[in-house]
Amino acid sequence: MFSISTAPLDLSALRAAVLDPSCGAVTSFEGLVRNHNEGREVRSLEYDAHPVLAEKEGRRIMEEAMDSFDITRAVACHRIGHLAIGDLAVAVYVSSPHRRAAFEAGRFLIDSIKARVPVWKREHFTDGTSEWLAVCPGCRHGH
Amino acid sequence: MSAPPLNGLLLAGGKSRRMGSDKADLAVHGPESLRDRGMRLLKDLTTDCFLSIAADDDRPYSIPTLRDALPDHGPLGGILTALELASDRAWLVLACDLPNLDLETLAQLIASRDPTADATCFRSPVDGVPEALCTIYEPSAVTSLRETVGRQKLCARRFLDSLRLNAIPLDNETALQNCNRPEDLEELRLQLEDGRTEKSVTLEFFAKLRDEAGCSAMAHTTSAATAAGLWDEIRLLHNLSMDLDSVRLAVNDEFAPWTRPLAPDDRIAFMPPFAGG
Repeated sequence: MFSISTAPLDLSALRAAVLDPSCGAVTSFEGLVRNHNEGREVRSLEYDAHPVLAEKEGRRIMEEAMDSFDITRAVACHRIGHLAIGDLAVAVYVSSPHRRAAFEAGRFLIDSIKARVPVWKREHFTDGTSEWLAVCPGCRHGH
Repeated sequence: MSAPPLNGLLLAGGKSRRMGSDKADLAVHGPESLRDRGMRLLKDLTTDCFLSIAADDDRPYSIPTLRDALPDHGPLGGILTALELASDRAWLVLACDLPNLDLETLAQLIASRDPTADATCFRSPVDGVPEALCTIYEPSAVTSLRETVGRQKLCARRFLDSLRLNAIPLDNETALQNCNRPEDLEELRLQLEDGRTEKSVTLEFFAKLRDEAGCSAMAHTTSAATAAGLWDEIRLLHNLSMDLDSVRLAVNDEFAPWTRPLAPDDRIAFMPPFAGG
């Protein structure tokens, strides 16, 4: 249900994994690499993780979502390695009988993944420098 | 010319913010508080000794106290109050949060005292930096101290760097272990219970910490009892830019608290704050 991947994410496979005849609603979140951060132009992003712990904590988060929301299935996958602008870094899919739970669980999942899974990103800027990112204050408030 | 007589000062005027309760009240070795223990050590070794207390401390004390002349000037404020009060005396100044400080170590400091320097102190056994927690200040230090405090430069360690210093090696490397945080207390208590045993562990670093340490994993031997004790060693050794309040800890691929006791062959991962998604 939660995995770390070094290969590009397969959105159709993730979507297919949550489909179920009992589910009328499917929601998803896609986290993409964007070209700017705090006024600086980003060339690429490098993701690093503690792979064993990331998968353990990721699985725990998925289980919490299954327990707390009226959803049927949920999957999430986080990519690591060197990603270009526009690449998919993380994806979450949720299915449930009705839409409200699917939206709420989706938000819970991506917020929790960002707060609790040991993954880091290093920004490579167009001026040739690079920097490990500190936690964005907005992320704490789910922006 | 004979050396000025030695007075004693136990610094107990701090706010103990990180500990969450007055450190001077803590008992580590048996029921004796750190305050009573420090005063007992000083009494044996100095002519007159005093407890340095904050300007606004109105608690009743049965021992001689020296109230800070100025509020909120930290340990240097307390030391200046003492030096100005008895300008013909040298002062042996101790922090109150040194549970392992022993008579032998203090006797060694006193025996190595150089009254022609401004101060005599130990060098840290980990990084060789002069230790500000246990120092003899000669009367000549008062001028620099008055000027430093006047400019609101209140870091004791930096003040030491500005003096003509007689710094000596520390034989007993546990003597100046201090306890600022509850994790430090747990480290000291566990060391007392289990003794200081050497363990071989593997350290794992991630992201920015990996860049600073220079590698993703390394073998390391430590006498620390808890992950917090180990972190303090590693932070100094590799000059790491973060501290306990932001670093996340995992032991053997699972999250763990900083007070976790270390076992041989543990894999300890030091992780910066997460930034995924």
